[in-house]
Amino acid sequence: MTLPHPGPVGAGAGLVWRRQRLLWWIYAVNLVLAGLGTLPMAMRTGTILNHSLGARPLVKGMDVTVLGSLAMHPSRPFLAPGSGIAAFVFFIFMLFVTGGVLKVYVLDRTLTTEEFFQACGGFFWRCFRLLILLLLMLAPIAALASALVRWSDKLSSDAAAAWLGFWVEVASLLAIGLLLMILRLWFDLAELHAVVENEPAVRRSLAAAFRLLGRNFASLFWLYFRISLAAWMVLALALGVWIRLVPADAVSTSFAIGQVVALFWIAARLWQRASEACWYQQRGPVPAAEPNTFSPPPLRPHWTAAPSIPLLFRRFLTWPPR
Amino acid sequence: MLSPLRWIAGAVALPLAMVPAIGGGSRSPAADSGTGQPLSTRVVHYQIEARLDPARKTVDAQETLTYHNLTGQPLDVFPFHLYLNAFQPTSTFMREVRRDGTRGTSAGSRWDPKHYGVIEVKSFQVEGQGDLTRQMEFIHPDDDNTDDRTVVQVKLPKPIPPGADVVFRIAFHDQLPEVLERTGYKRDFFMVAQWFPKVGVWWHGAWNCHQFHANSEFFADFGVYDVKVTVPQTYVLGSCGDEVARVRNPDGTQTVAYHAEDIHDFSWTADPHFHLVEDSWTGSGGTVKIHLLLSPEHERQRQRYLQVIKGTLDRFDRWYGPYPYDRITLVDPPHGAGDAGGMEYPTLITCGSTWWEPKGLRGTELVTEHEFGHQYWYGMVATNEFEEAWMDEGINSYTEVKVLDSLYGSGRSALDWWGLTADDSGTQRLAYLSEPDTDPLARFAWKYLSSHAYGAVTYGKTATVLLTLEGLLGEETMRRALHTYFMRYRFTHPTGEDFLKTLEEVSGQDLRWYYNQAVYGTQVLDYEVLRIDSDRVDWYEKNPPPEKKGQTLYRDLVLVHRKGDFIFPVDVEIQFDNGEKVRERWDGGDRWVRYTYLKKAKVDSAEVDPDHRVWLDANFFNNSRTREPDSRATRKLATYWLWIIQFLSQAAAWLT
Ligand SMILES: [Zn+2]
Repeated sequence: MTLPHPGPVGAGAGLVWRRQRLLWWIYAVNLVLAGLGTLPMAMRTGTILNHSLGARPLVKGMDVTVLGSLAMHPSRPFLAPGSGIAAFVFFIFMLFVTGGVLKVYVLDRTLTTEEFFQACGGFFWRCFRLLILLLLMLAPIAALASALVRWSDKLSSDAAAAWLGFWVEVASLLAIGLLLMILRLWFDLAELHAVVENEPAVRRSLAAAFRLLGRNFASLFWLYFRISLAAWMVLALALGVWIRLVPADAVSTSFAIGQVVALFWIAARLWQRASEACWYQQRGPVPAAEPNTFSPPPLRPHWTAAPSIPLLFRRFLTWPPR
Repeated sequence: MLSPLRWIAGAVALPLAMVPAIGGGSRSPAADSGTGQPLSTRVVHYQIEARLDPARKTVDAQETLTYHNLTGQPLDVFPFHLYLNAFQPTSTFMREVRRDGTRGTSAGSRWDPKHYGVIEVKSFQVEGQGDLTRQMEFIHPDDDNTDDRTVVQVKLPKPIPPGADVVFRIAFHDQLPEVLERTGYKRDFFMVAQWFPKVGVWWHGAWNCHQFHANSEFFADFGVYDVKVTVPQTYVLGSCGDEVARVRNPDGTQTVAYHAEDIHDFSWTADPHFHLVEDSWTGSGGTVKIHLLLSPEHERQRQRYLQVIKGTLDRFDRWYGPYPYDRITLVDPPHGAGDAGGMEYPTLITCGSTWWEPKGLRGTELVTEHEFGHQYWYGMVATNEFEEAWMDEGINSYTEVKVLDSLYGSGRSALDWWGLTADDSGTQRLAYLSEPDTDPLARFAWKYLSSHAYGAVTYGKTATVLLTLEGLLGEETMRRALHTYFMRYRFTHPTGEDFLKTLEEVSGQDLRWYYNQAVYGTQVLDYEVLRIDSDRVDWYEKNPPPEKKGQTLYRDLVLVHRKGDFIFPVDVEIQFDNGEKVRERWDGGDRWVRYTYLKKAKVDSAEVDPDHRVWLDANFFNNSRTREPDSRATRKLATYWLWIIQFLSQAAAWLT
């Protein structure tokens, strides 16, 4: 008797589990960077609080007025530099490793460090160009979101029905969330296409991903949405447990719960990537817009053609490409 | 208010002669005084008949004002407030809003024609002196803005002798703005406030009649109001008066007559959607009818309103003095009309709520308590809100702290939600910390650095100043002082100096030194424990015996520094590692003080103001110093901060 073939979400979960080194590495980088970003704030706060009896209301509870007066302290501890830098460095780090992560999931094997970084470097500019295009596409969505918020605000103020503005705002948020998920899914597929097919032209990857998404929208969106939902549910559950069950002074427990959530959120994002990779490989050939102009390349070790790290620097120098 | 508003159809109008019927249905404040005398010096008697046109958002009215000249001298000039003219782009009010913003409107906001408002005086007659409409001239006593039309002045041909009455007959037309700064309409809702020509106050030998400013409120004489309002029959009404008659007119309108005594302003509200909730509360002044005009979408907040208004009535009655009126009307503005909320009028307050507000957020309670408090500090103790805003807003913010603490518990009286807590005293202090030294309390309302400074100082700093004074005098003395101040000055116009006199008399202390710094000055109060140290007396020995708790002798040192210029006597508590505590009293006169002790114990900690009474201290964290560090709070905050950065980092990485 053979086990039934798992769906892409199940297969993706298995893939994340088998290649969990990736998960732990990304989590470690996330934690270390956030830790470094926290240090300046913690040092300023420590200077104010560590020898003060005035810190006590913050230990046993969370008195907002004490927190407020700490925020207004002349040394402005919450404006200490570091936090934004940490977030930005993590963002760049994730941009850099996306190619390598996808390569691992496509091949479903552990890469050597050199192979991994070659893949990262090889696909970096493609991921970067896709990021720029994504940001461009986010602009109209942001404009739409802003218009919807203004509209719902106006309804909240002017409409005869008191609730109309609120429900329009809720519906708008859901619609914007939906659009963002679809956009991300499209670009996920484009990145996957660029890696699997070793496609240098991101516009072709985007076009292929668009066709794939259009023809398989329901299954792909359901794949992405389920995992997002799981991430949000874990966050809500953790917050509920933390607020209701964890004493205000149980810092270690708070830390543990926070880290479980942070880890799960990274895992969920990788789970989406892995599930998409599984789906991509389980599907038929990429539907071609013009059959004569596109032939699926072999799914073999592509990074033999990928640039080495020195080459990557040359690419930096010769960017933008023709 | 809180950080942050036709003349009747003649044929159907009720004759004013019906007014004598008033006493039958309501208790006038005079009846409670036990003397048979009016509670206030009734300088004015307004009789107004007004008709609302809900479609045009206008009010047409006829006002008859009888002014009793109690000034002791002949008067031939009379200034009147025309507040609604503030809602025009060239007014002083709008200039100031444009420059600094005000509640609900940010600085630099564009002019919105919906906010246009006007009060036009159609005719102005003086009994026995004829039609003086053409003699009216706009004046601008506070600035150089010749376009400001919020004060009009009329010179009479014949002066009014001392002790005589003069009767003004004024026809006027109001165009109401879409709700802003307390007044106006929103859909079918109308808050008709500052809507009629109101005479200035003869005060300290001159007319006191300021222009309407972005940061100022009002000032008027006490008197009697008989107001008839005609609105469609579908409308639910509320006002500052007792309803004394209601007539349904053949044209589908209704005319409701109100009467009120010993108040100094009159506003009314109308909305066909209001749910009228009626309740009552009985205190030392008798039974008070509670009218809650609730917007339907806030129905779930009904009990919160009733609970807080009864609790507040009870505390004010027990602590400060009886509430002498027989009614209090609470107006809950509908959605979109928030700018009409959070405002006080005599016996009528506008509150504010939302359908979703969870119980622990206490916004509904805070606004309701605050506005009711103004019945005492503005309504009865009628200070000049233009010139000494701290005396109504600030004293009221202090009593707000006391009442909310009593009703909801100290430490969580302003917020108790999902583990987050805040008390009202702390929020007042935070407001003070945001502008600790820009303006003294005693400054005309429109002369503050900014709209924010006005709010921070008149509300937050004054409350903090009075909480600190309570720390000095004791809670009971402070309560007695406020009781005395209320009973002595209710239905009059006291000043800050009257308040000081009362505080000094009740406490038996000279408080000028405090007043000069806290009320008239901008000094910042900040003490710090600069250093603690325990040094072995045998430090010079080459081979001293090992340190042994309870046996080694130390020279202990505590250095306290007055960082700010505000001088205030403080306690300093020193805790030693053998459990012993020593309290020192320092007058704060010098910039620093050093305490030294010879003990077989080390200093564990030293703390300035160990009982946490000096709320004005701008930095509580440096008030103490411990020998051993305790990093629990830092670790906790760092843990939360860490997680927030991780989460934000991941959110940013979602883009890749
Ligand atoms: Zn107020």
